Amino acid sequence: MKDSILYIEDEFFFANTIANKLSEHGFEMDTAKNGTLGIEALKKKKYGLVLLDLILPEMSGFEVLEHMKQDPATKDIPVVVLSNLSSDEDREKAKALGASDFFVKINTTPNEVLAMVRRIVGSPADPTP
Amino acid sequence: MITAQLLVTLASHAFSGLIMLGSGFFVLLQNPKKKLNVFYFIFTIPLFIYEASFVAGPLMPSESFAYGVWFINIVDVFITATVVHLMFAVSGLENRFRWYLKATYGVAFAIFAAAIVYPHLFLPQVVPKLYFPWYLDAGPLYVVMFVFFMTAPIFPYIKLVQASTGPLNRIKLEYFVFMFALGYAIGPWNFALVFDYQIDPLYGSPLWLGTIPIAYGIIADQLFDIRLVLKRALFYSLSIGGITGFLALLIFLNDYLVDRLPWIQFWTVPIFTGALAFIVGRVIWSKFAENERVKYEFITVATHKLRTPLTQISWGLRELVEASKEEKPRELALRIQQASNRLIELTNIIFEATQKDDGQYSYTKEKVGLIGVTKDVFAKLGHLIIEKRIEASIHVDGEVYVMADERRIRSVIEVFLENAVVYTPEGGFVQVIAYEKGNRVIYSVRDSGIGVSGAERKSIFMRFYRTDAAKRADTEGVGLGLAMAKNIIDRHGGRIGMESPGEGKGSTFWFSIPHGIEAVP
Repeated sequence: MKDSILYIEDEFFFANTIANKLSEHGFEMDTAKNGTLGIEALKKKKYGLVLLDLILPEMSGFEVLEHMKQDPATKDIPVVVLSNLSSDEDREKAKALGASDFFVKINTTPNEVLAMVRRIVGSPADPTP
Repeated sequence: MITAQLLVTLASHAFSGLIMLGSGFFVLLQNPKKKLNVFYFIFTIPLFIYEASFVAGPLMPSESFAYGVWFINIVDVFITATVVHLMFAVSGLENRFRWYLKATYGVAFAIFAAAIVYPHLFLPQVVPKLYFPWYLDAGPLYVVMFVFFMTAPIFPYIKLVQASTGPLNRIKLEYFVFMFALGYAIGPWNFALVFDYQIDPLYGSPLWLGTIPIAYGIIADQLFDIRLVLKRALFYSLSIGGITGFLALLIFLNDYLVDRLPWIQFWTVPIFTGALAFIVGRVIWSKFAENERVKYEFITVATHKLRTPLTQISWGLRELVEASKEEKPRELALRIQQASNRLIELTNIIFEATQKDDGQYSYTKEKVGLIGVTKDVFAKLGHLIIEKRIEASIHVDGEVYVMADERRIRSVIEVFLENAVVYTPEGGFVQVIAYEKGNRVIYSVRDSGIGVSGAERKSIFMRFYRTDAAKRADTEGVGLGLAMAKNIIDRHGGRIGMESPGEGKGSTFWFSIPHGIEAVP
């Protein structure tokens, strides 16, 4: 399902803001509040995009990323990191693990996240190419 | 007859001379373009010559040779002149008291010339004194020189003390006040014996203890806390002294052991101590690295913790602004948003400043349209541009592409444009010009802002450096943006620079980097 997006984020505020913004624009949004729940959600449903925080309880974002890229069922789903970590070390690590993009929350806005999502999966109204 | 006592005194003076000259070279190499650094270097030259003559004089085989070498003591007049000059230079009063400087140099040359013409008025003879086979005997001209040496620096010293009570650079000047006093407390002990007071000139040998901290004060960008700086300077002085002393001791010990113990070869002690030094060095280095790591980690964690609530405020405010239909709450929310943006910028700066940029992490190369980025950044600065009625314009033939790390190049453009807008008074202009030249792209931002004075142009890309005009125009800057920009442009194999006709006359900041785009045949 191309238009469905999973946002793995432990902070309710962020999860809620982004989920609202994206649903308002027609995307089907699911959120998971830690890495383990995120992996479970990924097993149940096919997503077009995963937005991933890095500092998460139980299983970190890096671990989720690693797990996803090793599993043939999830390895092709684009993952965009949406975190407040911003060091070169973290960016390189995320990239090496297969993240397609890296957004620093504090330097971005919900509208920019929406634009990025549209760029990657297209608008929900778009016919699937 | 060379006694052990003489050897110790001469070795101490030799050590002092070498350390001072070494510090001169070190300070010079730190920033050969900075006047103060060059001046410190010049200051160490007569000091070194003085110490060299002090060491060589007593060792001369004959009286006539000894006389010739001790005569070099006349270099004291130039030590005096350079001390005066250095005192004015550190207090920034060099230009105001040019007349005093000229007079000091004039007197120095006059005494020097008189001594050359009438050498025996300066140094009537060299005679055995204390444990020295030859030491100076003072003639009337020597007395004149000594009086000059002791009195000429009084006036600049008073001026330095006065300047240090003012608001500008108080801590730094207080530091120099203390260090010059220390130097003058140690230096003149050698003179006592010249005037037949039986005081061992050994006490005059730790002169370097006064000069190394002065060198440190010159190269340290900003001295925040006088106690901390004193502690640090003392630490550096003692470390340099300690290491050199230790090496000298080793050589001595080695000779002694090789002499006494038949089973010790000349290389035994060096190899053993070399290995020991390596181990100690490693331990110290790892402690130091650990310390740095903890510091970075602490700041990373602290900024991250701050970022979560800050992002929530920022995102929340955005939603609030979008949702506000009424003018008043919307305006209020916008104002809070500006404050929150400022807070975000500050945490970003703290974060960036503490990141190690040791080239460990690669820069990505992607096709970046500089004009697109410029338009984005101008849009972000929109409210400020409108508020200050600044005429912002872009002069290009079309998009200018470059293969670069987009995020970093964006930061450079942000720094350029933000500085231009912040430091340009109301009603001014900011012009962006970008074009290709050969295999490079040149990007420049010209403004009608506060400009940069000649002396400050060299330091403007240094970390934490802010020009005086910039401090007056915007009290909130930190002085990291341009340093970061320079680092980024360097890593792209480019050049960065600025031109300004002077303070208040606007400036142009530019960078040029290889565009890295293969020409299509």
